[in-house]
Amino acid sequence: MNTLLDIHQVSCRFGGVRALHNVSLAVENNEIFGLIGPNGAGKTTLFNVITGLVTPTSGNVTLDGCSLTGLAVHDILRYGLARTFQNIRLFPGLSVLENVLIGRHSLGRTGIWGAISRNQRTRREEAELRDTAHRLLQQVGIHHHAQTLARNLSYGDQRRLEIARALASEPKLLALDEPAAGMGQTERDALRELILSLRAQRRISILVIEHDVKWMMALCDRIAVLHFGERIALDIPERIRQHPDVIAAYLGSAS
Amino acid sequence: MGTPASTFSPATVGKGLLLVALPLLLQAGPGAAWVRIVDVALLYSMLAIGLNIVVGFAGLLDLGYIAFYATGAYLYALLDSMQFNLHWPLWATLPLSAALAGLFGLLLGAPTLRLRGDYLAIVTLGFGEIVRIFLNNLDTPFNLTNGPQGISLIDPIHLGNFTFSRPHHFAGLTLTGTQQYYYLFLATIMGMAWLATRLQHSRIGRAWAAIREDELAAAASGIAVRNYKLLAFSLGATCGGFAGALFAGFQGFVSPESFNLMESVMVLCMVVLGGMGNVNGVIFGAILLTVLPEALRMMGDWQLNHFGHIWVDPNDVRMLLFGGALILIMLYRPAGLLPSPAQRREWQKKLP
Repeated sequence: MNTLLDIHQVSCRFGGVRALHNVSLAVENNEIFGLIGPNGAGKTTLFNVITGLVTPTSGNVTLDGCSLTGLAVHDILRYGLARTFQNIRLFPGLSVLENVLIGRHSLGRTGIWGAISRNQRTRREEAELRDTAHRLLQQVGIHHHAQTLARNLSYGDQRRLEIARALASEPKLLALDEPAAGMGQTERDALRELILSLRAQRRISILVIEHDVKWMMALCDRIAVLHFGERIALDIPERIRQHPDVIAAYLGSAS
Repeated sequence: MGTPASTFSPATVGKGLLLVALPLLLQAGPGAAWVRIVDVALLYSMLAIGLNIVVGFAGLLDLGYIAFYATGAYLYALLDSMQFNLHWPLWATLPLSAALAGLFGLLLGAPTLRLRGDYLAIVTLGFGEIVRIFLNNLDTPFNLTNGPQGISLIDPIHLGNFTFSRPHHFAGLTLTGTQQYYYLFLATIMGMAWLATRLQHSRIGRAWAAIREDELAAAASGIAVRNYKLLAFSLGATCGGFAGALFAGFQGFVSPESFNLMESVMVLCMVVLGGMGNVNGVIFGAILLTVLPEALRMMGDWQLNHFGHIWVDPNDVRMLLFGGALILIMLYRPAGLLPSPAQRREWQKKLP
């Protein structure tokens, strides 16, 4: 198997709080990998470790063989890991198209001189950029809103725009932090279809954190379960469902 | 992006002719004093364009911007006056003034990278005051800036044998010094506005906009936030330094008093009032806020002529109107008089 993202023995402490303890897991190429767990299990901390917002106390994260630990947030994107945020963080005052153009910033090369002279290379780059951005908006289904301000999109469309912006950087791994939060059942199903189609079309790996266990079961190839900062299970959805520790974690054990 | 056809439309040609003829019309009409007022308005426009890069494009609140104006002005004053009896040519002093101010921009930017909003405003305000106080006190241990007296007898701006402050004859017309400065400043502004607009509508301008909108999301989109903030600070400061050098040559005199906090606030008001993020808007704001007070000043003369006594001090009215105008603008046109296209869209959506 080809491992893309390797999380190795990651521990994270905030003062006396043990947010993560020796968590290891690996996301394969072209896999949809789910991360679930009750509230306070450490899902978001792990996500922040992967995306560079939090430096782990110990342990290591590698993407395609390159260590991500200690890198700045913007460098991690350049290594091929793009993310969305739990509480949507778009550029609200910019148009939908501009949001996606900014998402592709890391692939551009225009510097001050190119910007001022608007030379042929810059014009070619801009044209390519716009083409790709329009294509991405079509792919996530909000192309008709290209000129709308991001803040005026509906909630579901904002989620889609955030995904399009993340995809614009051509990531190897797309990390989605509770993408279905606050959505109705129809929107959730549509979002799941979108994620599945992205995987099929773009051959990327997707890491998803989500509360909705049922929704995740129908989406993910494999699921890891966190509980009190430890990984208590890692398996395919059918077996996660039956896993005694998982059932205990969610329902509370009798002991 | 403008289409080629619109570049030479009759309206554009008309505006261009008006801009060229303006100093002649002003001289013939309201008088020579108004040419000078417009010159000052143009200097402020340069500052507004520069500050707009920091505040409007990158969204970094800078309350000490006038320090860069001071840096440029003083460097020009030191290199082209009797202070050290140096008389460097313009092609050396102008770029040096701009570059030194740009360096100061980096110096201010580097320690403030982690600060946002109010905290950034406080530090930049302090920086502006520090520069002014330095200029005020650098007459000891050795006399660099001549302290509070300032530096006088600064060489006028001169290119080879052409001195801008002296009248010259062109094709049957005699142009005064202030009129020639007008054309120099106008050309400079057009250059600066062009550069700023090009940067705004580029990968760099988009990165600034992203930082302005959401710094964390910008970083997560692969933007090296630190570098782009420093770039904004330093480019803004460069404009300020360039304008400062022109100011020193134009005025012939610089003193720390010209670079106090009120000036920084004034330039910020020009940017906010004119329309943050829109280059044409901030130029409009700068001209409005320079010309209006001067027009109000005439009110004093008018009262003196009609009543033989000044009932209402124009200076008081000026500040009153000024404050009132700012409140009204913030209430009814929060994006400025000429908002940037994105903000205009936003503003229109909010209307019921």
